[in-house]
Amino acid sequence: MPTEASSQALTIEGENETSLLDILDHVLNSGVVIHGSLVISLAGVDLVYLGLNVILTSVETALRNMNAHEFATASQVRRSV
Amino acid sequence: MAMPCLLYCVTEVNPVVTVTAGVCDSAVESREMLGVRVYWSNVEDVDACFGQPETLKQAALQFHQVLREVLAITTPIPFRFPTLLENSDALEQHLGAEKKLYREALERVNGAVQYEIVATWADEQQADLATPMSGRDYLKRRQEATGRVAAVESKLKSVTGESVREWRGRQERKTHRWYALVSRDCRERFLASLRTAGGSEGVRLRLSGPWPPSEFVAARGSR
Repeated sequence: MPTEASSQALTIEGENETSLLDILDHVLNSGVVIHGSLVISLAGVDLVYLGLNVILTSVETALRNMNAHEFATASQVRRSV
Repeated sequence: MAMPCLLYCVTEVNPVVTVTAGVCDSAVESREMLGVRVYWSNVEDVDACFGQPETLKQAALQFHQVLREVLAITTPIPFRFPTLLENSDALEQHLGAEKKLYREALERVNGAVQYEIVATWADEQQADLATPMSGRDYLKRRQEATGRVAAVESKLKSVTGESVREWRGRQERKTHRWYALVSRDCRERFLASLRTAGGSEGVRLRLSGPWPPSEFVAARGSR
């Protein structure tokens, strides 16, 4: 039942709509972080974190300026640089 | 040879969720360890899976899909993507050291999911934060921002009532995010209450979810 507060000022958008950006934002920016020496220390790890930085930058930029389609294009551009 | 393992999440020991495929089409393993159940994949070729932005993005989406499948059945505490350990021995060692954290977190979020509401204000989006302003103007703007966040928060709490087990919030540069911890059996009531919330006054609220309750893993005030 609507309450006094609800009659004043709320419209909720986006129910059942989860964008690519929402998903990437969540998996990259939330969840338990394990600190310390347990994190893998293979030669390839630099690539992992390099890649992560690339995509994090893309997500941040995309969240400010782009929709999901433009984000995909931006990722391709970044990869080719 | 022991392979690196990518961690997905920790859950209660039961129920066990069978996940179709993990990142890079790997099998998703699960095992009871020290009173919790942990889900992970052994990753044969770390570079091939995560080494390029496009493969990393694909892996991130597959990671999300695994969490979705788990969340459909039980409440996961997710790891941040990508968390890689040297092998499953390292995983057991980590769980041994952090057993209390996981047990307490699982009890806190048991049977619940997380919804997220992001508020943006039209005039705040147009505000030029780069232009210097007087201290008085700055304080006035801060005060107004605090007031309108408090007003929306009050309305959200009033509208949704007891369908939300716990609220948390976070101020960002031009937006404010609220996280609602909602019991599974209150989800419909929560969504229905928001649907009936009414018109807007210069604020845009966007709802997403359900998500794993990652914002509620730490006890309130502990971070």
